[in-house]
Amino acid sequence: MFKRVSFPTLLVTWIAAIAMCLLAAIASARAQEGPRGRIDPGTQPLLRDSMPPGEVGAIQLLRKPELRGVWQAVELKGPEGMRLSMADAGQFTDDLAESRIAVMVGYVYRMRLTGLPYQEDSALYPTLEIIDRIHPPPEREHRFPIPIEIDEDDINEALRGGMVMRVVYLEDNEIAEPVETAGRPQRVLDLRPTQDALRTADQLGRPVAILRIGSRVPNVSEGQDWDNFLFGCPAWTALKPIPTKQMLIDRGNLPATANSGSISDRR
Amino acid sequence: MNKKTHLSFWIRTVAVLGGFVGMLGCQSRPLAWFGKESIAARQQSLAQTPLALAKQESPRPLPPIVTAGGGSVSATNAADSGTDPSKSGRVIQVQHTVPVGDPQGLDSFSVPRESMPMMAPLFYAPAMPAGPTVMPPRSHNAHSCPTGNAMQGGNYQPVFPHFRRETTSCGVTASYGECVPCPTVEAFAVPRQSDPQEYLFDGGDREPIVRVRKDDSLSGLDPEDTVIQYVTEDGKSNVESGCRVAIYAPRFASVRKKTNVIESGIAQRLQATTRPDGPGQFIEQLPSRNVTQPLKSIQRNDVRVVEAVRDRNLTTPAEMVLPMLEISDAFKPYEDLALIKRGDLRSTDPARLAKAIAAARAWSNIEELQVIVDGQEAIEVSSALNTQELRIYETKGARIRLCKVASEQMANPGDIISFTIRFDNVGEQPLRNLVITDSLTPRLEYVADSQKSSLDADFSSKPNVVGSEILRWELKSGIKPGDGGVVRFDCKVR
Repeated sequence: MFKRVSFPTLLVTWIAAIAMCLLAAIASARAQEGPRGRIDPGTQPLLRDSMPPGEVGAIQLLRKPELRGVWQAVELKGPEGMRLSMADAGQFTDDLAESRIAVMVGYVYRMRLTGLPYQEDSALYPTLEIIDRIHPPPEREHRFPIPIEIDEDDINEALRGGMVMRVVYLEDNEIAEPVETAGRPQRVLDLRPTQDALRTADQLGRPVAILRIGSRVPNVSEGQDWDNFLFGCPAWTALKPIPTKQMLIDRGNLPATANSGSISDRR
Repeated sequence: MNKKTHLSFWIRTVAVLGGFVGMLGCQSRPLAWFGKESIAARQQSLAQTPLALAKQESPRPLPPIVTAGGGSVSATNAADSGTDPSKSGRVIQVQHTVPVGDPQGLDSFSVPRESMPMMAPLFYAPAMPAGPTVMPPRSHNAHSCPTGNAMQGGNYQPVFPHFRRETTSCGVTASYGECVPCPTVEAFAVPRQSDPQEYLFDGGDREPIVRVRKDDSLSGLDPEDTVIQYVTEDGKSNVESGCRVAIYAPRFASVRKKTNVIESGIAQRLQATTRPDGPGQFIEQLPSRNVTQPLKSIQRNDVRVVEAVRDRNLTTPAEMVLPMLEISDAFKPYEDLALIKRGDLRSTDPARLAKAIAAARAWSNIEELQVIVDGQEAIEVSSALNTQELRIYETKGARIRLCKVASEQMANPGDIISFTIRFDNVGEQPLRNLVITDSLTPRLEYVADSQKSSLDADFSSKPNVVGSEILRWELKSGIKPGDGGVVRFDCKVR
């Protein structure tokens, strides 16, 4: 039926056959991979880190009505000497003596940072947006605040004119890294500008707070623009410091010999 | 190249292309999938689903089914939504309403991890193709609405109701501005209790179940698993899991993104420049650092240590004094129970146990407690789930009871938590070759030399796959019926 063909024709035919077999094998391997991840291709995230402050929290309140009116304890930490004041009733308060405060989920809080390292004359006005809560045991809510840490890198980047966005997330304990964290700075994963911080944080755990630090300073001090700058000054309250063991002993609430047990002073 | 050669070439090319297309086609769907018999078989299997059966058996409306986890299913809705797939051509998406993650009683506060809400591109694209409006959640407590609009946690709220445009499962077509609620809205108002991501779990036996190999090693030992391995009198080896304890210990981290302005209107220029001109050539002639001194050493002092001593003392009787290896009799407050002290389970203990066990449960994502009795699989004959972590196993007269408690119910990174495992032979035959294995979660770090055992045991530890450790106590002696022991160890929260 077939006659002899020339060698170039035979060669081209074999090369084409081998190439197609390879393509089929590759397609088969890709088909067996199944769904890649839990997100279908082409799916767009509802929440993005490019949303303006307040939008993510508002959507969260829509999605989870049980978050409305919920107070969440946060603890603000910064470099040595940094002073913090919160917007309250249309103005900034005095420097807070206690870094643990309770804020409401879904709202945006404007803060003022002064006493920055090597920049005593400068001030930054970051915003803090709480987008979810945690569920500590009853009456222990203040002992498990969400840590909001600002390091010198953040401050330097903001003072250079950049915009720093930190998304704090609750780690998934099943995939948590087995590293020591006690007494150490919060672990930070630096992203590329093209990556979505909210989406990345969601893959690593559950995002609970967004901290945005820029270099803009207010040029007004009253009026509607000022209120917008302060995001309406939502309610917050300072938490009493948690007494250490020595403080309890000094007050007479604890016998002086109470030095046993594994409960740390921080709790 | 003549005509026939061309024909041959094209026949070969078409054959290769046909084979290629056939191979690609077979990767996705076999042709038999489109056959009538295959379609009929699928329809028959769909007709036998619980929803379809419920529809056939109960034409009247049924009360809503409310689950413990906050999710709920209206049987009416489910049955109605299960319209004949042969007519609608849609596949029914059945939502699980019974928590399947943890059969050990964690459902009271166990809410599965919730992902960030995702929206299909139809919300943004001008052309709106058919497709799910919101990603279906991975939750087992999800809303039962099979359209994929289920939001987790039992509080269903459409994010943008006016954007929904899809025929719901209830058979009602919703247009813009409308949201067709499912009938059991009041059942979704159950607030979320907690989030398991905030807890550390330790103990129990997660899937896959731990099994004993022929060489007495364990397979399927996951992080959080705690098992005990034992051998019965008739030589059979068993492995059993113990309690699962939970400790509240959230840990936070953050991701950071730095962005800068792409374009700036600020024109900057140099105010002044300084150009320090240096010498054109600089030759540095420094003396050499190394000097060879042709001198011999005069003296060398060596200090030799005595390597061996031969003692020629006369033999005298000596008494060997060994240090105490037993565990201290002083019990800690959290383990001051008759069960831990003497192995007696009193009626007043379960309530106190519940607290201490709940403390241990949070840490037990990696640890599990198991017992093995000579290869024979023990059967759990009683399980006090209300006390949460007390289990009794039985294997043909061999019974073993495990109880694990933790000293703290909540902890911060850096805290030390003590775990106590009490095991008792409550059967009628002695057990031997007992091995207790505990695999720790990645957030628990075993404090070195903190383990203690009331019975003489060989302790060893080795790293597990998640970066923590697997603790192993191999008891040197068996335990008689009625006897038991206690194992303690400390862990540091990472």
